[in-house]
Amino acid sequence: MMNKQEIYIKTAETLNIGIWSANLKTNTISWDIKTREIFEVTPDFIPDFKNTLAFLNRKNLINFKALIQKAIENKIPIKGDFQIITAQKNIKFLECICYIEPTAKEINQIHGTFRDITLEHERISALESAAEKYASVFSSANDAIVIINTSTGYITDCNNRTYELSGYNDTEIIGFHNSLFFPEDKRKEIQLYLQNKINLNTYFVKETYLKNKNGTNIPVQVASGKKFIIDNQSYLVCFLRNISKRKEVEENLALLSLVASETTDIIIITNAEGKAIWANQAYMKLTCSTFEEIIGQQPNYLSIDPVSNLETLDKINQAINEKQEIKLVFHNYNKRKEKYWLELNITPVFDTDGNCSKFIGIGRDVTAAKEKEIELKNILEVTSQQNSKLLNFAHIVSHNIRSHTSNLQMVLDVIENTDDLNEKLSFIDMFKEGTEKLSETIENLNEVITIQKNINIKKTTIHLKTEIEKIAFPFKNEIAITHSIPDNLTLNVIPAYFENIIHNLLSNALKYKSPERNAQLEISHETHKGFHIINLKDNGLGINIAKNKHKLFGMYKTFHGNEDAKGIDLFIVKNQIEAMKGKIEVESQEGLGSTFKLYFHEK
Amino acid sequence: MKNKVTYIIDDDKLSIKLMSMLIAKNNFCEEIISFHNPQTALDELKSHANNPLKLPDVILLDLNMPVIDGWQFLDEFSLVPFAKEILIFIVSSSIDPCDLEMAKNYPIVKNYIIKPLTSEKLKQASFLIENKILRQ
Repeated sequence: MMNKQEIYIKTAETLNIGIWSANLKTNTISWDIKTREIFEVTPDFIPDFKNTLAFLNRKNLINFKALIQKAIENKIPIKGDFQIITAQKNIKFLECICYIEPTAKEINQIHGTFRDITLEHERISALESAAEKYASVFSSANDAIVIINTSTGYITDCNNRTYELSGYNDTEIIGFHNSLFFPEDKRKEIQLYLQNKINLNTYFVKETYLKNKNGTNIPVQVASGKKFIIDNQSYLVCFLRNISKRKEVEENLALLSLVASETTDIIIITNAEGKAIWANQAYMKLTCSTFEEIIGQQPNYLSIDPVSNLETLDKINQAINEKQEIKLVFHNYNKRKEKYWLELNITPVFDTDGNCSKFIGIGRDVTAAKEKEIELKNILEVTSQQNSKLLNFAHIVSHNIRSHTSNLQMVLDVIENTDDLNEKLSFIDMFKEGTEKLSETIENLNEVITIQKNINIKKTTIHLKTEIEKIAFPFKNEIAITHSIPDNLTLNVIPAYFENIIHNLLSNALKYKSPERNAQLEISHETHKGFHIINLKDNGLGINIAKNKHKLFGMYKTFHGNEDAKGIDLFIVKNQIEAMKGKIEVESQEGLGSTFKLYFHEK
Repeated sequence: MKNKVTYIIDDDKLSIKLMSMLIAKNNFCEEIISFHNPQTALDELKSHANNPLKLPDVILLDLNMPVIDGWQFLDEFSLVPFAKEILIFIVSSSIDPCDLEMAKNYPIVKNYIIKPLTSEKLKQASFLIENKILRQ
């Protein structure tokens, strides 16, 4: 039979418990083997009040002393935890129970046990830190987190975000059914959904609305965690995220994309290299192409006519290279080779780093408007031409015809007021003179009107160099004529008019040559804005342009007082070149010479 | 005093001849000097600018003329400081409203007479001239 002491020691060994006692009278401490093991000291270590202090830091020493104090006062076994530093410098957590013999009148002896709870302590502290972590996530998460009792649907806990999102405080939430958060018309649907998901035990994400305390519906995304079970009760964690910003952006985007895809304006988006990445229906309709044909290609691929639109293409390419905005109106062709007018805006899109990431092309078919514009322009041109001709004609009638008729009237007046018959007869010659001049003027006018009537006369192609040389030939002895007309140049003209124009200008150069020098004339050619320009530069008397511009090409205007100047030639020249849709201009300096510039359309 | 010397400036020689006859008939003035080139008239006037005895009292000026037209004549005439006042009448066949309007820009132009010149029109001009001279 083992005695009580032996049983006690055996039990302690089995339970892995160290036993110690302290005698307050003798100031001695005794440790058993197990205690020595716990403190990692050698078997011959003799503990006393002094050397045991090394195992406890200040805080744990105070706790330990307090524990003993408590045990003495209450005379019941007291339990406490301590941290020690062993002789091998390991940190251990010990559970200590100490007790005083309850019967003892005088307290001499304190008994106690040590149990190494390091492993348990570590486990607990790991758990605690994990719990703390989760608690911090729970409270500071961006989402509202709600824990729901799955059997009742009541809310058992929620975080601060939940209060912010819903407008309710904790007493209004905890213990209430989760339906509190949802609009009446959504509740049934959501409860069914939740139940279903709980039964299937799967994660879910759903977009719905949260009705806050003010009754406002806020679009939210509800996401679930997995169920967890505590004390046989399962709970569900739900995350509620406010998605009203996202919804707003989505709605705006949806509207924008609706506009882009449904507008009748064409829209095409390209990458920075100019290759199409998107186009709307209108674009495909206008160009008669399919999405597949467009994507990855230059937007001009199917359309811009490379022959007539070189200039437009250059402009577009330049704008794209320089990442600049450009607006153009140009002729284009669809796949069926049908011509249309396109108004096109190309805008580069830059990312936050300032790099061009895309180009957006927006355009519209302006064929109808453009055709109207052209028609209107033509009408305006014809009208203003007719108007100016009419004015010119009125001017001629007013100045030139009236001067003769008024002379005739005066002659008649004189005849009437003369009594002598012989004297009357002497005025007949004057009457004749006046009549002849009037008839000459009318003939000249008729010539001009004939020219103006002939604007639709068919033009023929002439070889310019040959023609000029032919017309200049009779003048070769009087004027030194040189020319630099290209060999292969042809013009579309009314040949008789052309000949008359050149002939008249050469005659003028001769007529108004400077008495101080030999007459010279230089004929050259240039092209400018769709016109062939033929320049006839002489070294004659010249004209004071500033003074005489208004009457230069008028009828019966002369500048040099020559007897043979009739003032009709330049007027006819002007009418003839205008009948060919060209124009005449003059540059001149008095005393140096004149340059007449003849403009002929290239087409 | 009456209108003594009148210049006629007109490029149309027939017109000059006819106007001279009408003027003579109506005793419009004592002496007519005619020019078919306005530049010659201008040169003549300029050379006598300081001599009132050799300057005309009245000028009948045509508008539509070669080399320099009536307007250019007026522009140059206005620049010359003449020793006496010379009354200018435009006598033109032009009924162009632009010309009639333009004439108003020249204060030295006493009146605009539309051709044909008649005895009646000359009498009206004489009346204006006499009033003008009387007032002086």
